[in-house]
Amino acid sequence: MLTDAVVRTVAPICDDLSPSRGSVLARRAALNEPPKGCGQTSYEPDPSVPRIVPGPRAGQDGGPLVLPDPMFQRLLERARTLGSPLRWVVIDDLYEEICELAISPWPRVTDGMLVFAEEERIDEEEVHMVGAIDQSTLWENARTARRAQYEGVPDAAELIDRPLQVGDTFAAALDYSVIESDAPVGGSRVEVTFRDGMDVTAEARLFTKVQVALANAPPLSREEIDPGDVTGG
Amino acid sequence: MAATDVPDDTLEQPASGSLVGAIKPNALVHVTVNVGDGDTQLVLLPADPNGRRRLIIVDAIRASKLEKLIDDLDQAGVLGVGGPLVEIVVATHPHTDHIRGVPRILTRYASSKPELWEPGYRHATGAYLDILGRVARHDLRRTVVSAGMARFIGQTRVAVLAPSVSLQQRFDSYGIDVNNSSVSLKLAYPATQVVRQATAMGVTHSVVDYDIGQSLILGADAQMLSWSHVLADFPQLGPRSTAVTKALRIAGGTAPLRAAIFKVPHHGSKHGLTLELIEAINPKVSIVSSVRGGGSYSFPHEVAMSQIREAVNPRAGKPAVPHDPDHKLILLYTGSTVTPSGTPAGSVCVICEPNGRREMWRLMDGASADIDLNQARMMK
Repeated sequence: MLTDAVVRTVAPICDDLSPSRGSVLARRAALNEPPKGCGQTSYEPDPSVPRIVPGPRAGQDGGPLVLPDPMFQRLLERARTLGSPLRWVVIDDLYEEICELAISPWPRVTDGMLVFAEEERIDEEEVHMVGAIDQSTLWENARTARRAQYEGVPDAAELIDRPLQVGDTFAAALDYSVIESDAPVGGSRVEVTFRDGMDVTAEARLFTKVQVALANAPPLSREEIDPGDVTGG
Repeated sequence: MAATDVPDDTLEQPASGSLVGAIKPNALVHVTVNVGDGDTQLVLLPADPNGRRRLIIVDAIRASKLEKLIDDLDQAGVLGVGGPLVEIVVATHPHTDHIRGVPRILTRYASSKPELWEPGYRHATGAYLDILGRVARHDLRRTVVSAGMARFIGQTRVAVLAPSVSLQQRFDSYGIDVNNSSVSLKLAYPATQVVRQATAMGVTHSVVDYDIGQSLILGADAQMLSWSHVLADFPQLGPRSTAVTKALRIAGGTAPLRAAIFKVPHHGSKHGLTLELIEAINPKVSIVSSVRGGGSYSFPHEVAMSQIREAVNPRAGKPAVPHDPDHKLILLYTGSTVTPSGTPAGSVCVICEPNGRREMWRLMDGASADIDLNQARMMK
């Protein structure tokens, strides 16, 4: 069994150790067994769980990424009400009391890949910003967001209180206050206030894997991999 | 600590065209661009037989400033005919203060089909994902590099010191700090130890058994975990006077970490250096990319700078004698200002010739200003 300390540093590939509101949790609860992941020598897939996991999807009319979660629709509405466009916010670094955030616009989806900065934009590099927030403040924000997401889910307390780690990702409506107007990083270094958000770390990890794979090689068609057996164990 | 200031009388006065004129076709040029709390580096490889230079870009937080520099060098004729030819773009690790401008760089120079080198540390940030998107869209080559890999481009050897293979295997299992995924490089120029000479007896080829040229180590943000692997993977052999070490020196060198120019890791962080590492490198020029005033993390850390001073100018045995000032130790900070004027000393440009001769220039740019090559001042 991995210790808590090790679990906190485990990197994205270990899905079964990642926070998720979807199939992993359901499967774990159903099987009433400890999570499988790193360190396991064998892995027997559960035939009841689909083996093709949807990657990033845009809405019906294409364009911005849409997450299949009622929370996401509620967050979109809330962001609209607040007048704060939704952002893709990732913990880039944790250092002493500071949490450095990589802040990007909410992505669009093109050919299965997330696109944050359109290539045609002259100010493309200004799209990605660096923000700073006090770790304890972000921790409270994250817990508030997760509480709304995970209430009633098995293992909710574990998910809500999971310590912050580099790579955690939030869909968030933010306020900025500039703390260094001519800072060389991002044009402006900003202090961030969360107005509303949700933890999308599990989705971000999955989409990152998809993005890496598509950068490595073009996708295959379903027929090419196994025309007769692609959905079950 | 604040970056140490540069006395005005240690710099030559600027003269229009003097920097461009100093860059001979057979010179390798390294520029640490002043971008404040972040990294952007440009390497101009020596010109090929057609007079054209290939470029290596190592990180880019401020792409527009880098593009302007490349454009100006191109217009001045430094890059040869045919426009900028970017050979490799290195995204040392996926922290935003290193890669924010890389997607734009890949778009801008896509026509020269640069190869993307990166450590393979998957990060969910928009900048990292946009890099991957550009690779796919422009059909670029993406190479996940690790220690021991070397690419020969003309007379330059570009070798990867870090991340080690074993660290790389931990990215997806036990995890490591993002900084320790950094791609650290060693550039050696010239890459050969063979010299050709025309004599009365005809053309002869001989092997030089002493170190020629000069090397650069570009430390990215690697911290001690990564450097500990580097020290194990690239052992220094000695003593240097034996027949065995002489043979090894001809074969590949007995001091694989020795380098005249050292781009100090992690903006001078206290977590990126030890005395033993700096002694193994034995730098003649140390360059720190850091914002003036310390920035968010108070880089460079005094404890780290003290180790560089002690390694290149030992005083531990004579504590009453202070270290020489940083400008005499050639410990340079992009965030420095010139005294007494207070103007920025800015980016650092090192010109390396194959005979071991080198010149250091300050480009006098502020972190958020463009570089004017005509304002460059050579260090005396």
